[in-house]
Amino acid sequence: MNFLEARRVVSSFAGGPPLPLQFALSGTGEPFELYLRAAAAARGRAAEVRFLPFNTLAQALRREPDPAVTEVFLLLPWDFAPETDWRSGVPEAVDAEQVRLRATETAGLLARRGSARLLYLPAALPPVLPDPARNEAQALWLLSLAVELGARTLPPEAFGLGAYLTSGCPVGGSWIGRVAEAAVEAALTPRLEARKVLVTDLDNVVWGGVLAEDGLDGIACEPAGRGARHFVYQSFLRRLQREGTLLAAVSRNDPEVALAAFRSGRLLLQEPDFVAILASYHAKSAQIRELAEHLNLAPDAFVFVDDNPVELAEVTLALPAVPCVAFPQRDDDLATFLATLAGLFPHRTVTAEDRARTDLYRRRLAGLAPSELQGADLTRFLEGLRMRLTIHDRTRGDRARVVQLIDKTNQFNLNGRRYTDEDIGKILNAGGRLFGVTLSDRTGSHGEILACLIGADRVVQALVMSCRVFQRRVEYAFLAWLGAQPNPPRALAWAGTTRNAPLREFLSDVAGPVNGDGVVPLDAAAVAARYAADLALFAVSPA
Amino acid sequence: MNRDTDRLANGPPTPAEVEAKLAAIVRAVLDLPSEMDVTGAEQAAIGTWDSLAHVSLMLALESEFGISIDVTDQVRLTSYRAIRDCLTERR
Repeated sequence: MNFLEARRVVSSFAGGPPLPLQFALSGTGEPFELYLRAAAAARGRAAEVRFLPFNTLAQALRREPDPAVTEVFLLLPWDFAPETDWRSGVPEAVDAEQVRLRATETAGLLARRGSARLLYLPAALPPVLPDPARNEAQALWLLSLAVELGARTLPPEAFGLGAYLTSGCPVGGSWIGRVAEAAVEAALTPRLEARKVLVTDLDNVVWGGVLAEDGLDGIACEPAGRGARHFVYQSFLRRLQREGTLLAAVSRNDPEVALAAFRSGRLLLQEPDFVAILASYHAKSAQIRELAEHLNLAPDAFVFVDDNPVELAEVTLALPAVPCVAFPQRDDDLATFLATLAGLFPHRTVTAEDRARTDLYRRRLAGLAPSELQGADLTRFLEGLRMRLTIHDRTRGDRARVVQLIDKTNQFNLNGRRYTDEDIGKILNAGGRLFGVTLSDRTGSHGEILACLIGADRVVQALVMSCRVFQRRVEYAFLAWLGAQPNPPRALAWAGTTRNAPLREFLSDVAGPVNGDGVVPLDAAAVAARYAADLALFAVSPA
Repeated sequence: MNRDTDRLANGPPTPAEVEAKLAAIVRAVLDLPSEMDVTGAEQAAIGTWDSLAHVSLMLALESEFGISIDVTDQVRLTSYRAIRDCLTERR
């Protein structure tokens, strides 16, 4: 969008929902204002743009972000490595190791701003290192640092050295509209949460060939030749699985035929790598829907891979929330295919809980109450699981898993609010309390599955529970236990989200009908008495 | 990219179109009345044409005409006439 068009769009804009935006860059940001407002107006939003004072980006990174404002950072190489800033001239000498240390520190500060949107402009660098090859390597390393942070990369030619030297604005006039468009687009694009389950077809996907026709000896899955593409795919799935992605297979086969392949020892993937291997002649969308119900996950947690366009279309039509990715027909398309999947399953950190996730969900499926059981039958079923709750006071000591649980849980989440470790530290230092709950049963441990953060004012600020233990009455038992403790909570800070309907239902049970967001009072003594029978389903022990 | 395509499709702007755009930009950036004749405008005579407005004006010209104006040009483009001549030379 050029200057006059931007003026026209802004002046004719009738208004729309506000878009509070912090456009953060170390240079002069003001020239972007018109274009940012125009780009937002073109999308029906009224941008309320703030800028940082000139050259204060480094200080801004050390301040807490304003949660009411979407931050968009326009980053340049010298935001990571100040020695490369054209406006400082070429330094006499540069310690490349120090440059990298400082750049890594800045990247760490950016990584902590989980909701910030990042744009990276890989501007040409001045020759700060004596060897041109090292200078180029430095530029590429800085680019990789930004990419690793999830930054969207802008074309290098958007950098205008003339504009930067003259006015401090790093983008020339002919690019300013396009960069503003990218900034608004980034601000309006929700940050993608990692999907949880990859559902894959088997024939001509996990292996080459059709098992029922070619037989075990006829399928191809070796690292070379006809099976190479399938071998690489399997190795990628294995890595995803180790990082916490759940794998499931759906195949139009007889179950014993499909399982025989995994038990043959010829495949890289083994049966225990999958949370479920569904082999039937039902529509694949129906199989995925059933699996979603059993795992207590929404369809948007799933990704489906198949080589057959008809199967892909069938799932797309029946389950539009499930991204469907076509397995490539040619080896040359494999890299793009794997990059697409990697983008749907990003894992920045991998915890022990992530590595054990498949086992945890397999246990959940094994302990799943048959859906027709109700009332007394269900109670008997749950009693038979011999469940044990271990309640950990995480107010002091290691709380990494609890923080991760609060940060990742969507469905059983009191208000959808995300907390950094630092946020939680502040609440605890002010007199708050933090609990984590571990569940085990006759099938083994399910890990730490519930977290509860209570403020010094006895209002529950965060309550989350892993959806893999729904139906077991854990949440009622925990609240009954909590209600009987000294200084029990007096209220819960509720807020509805697009996905936390299970929490709304629970809250309606324990505190009465929920009307709008806000603090919902809780009669702790009454809750402890009402759900004592649920608590009795568990052997409870403090850690 | 689209602008370049449009430009190819519609042909280069005529001198009258360039002048009309230039006048609109000068009025908008320098906050001048829409009926004002700006063809004789000079930086020294217009109070709102300070150094910051000059930067905005140069960026607006670059944006509108898809050009890059070098620093040496920027310091001499201090009147409507000088800018118009510069744009004419670049066409």
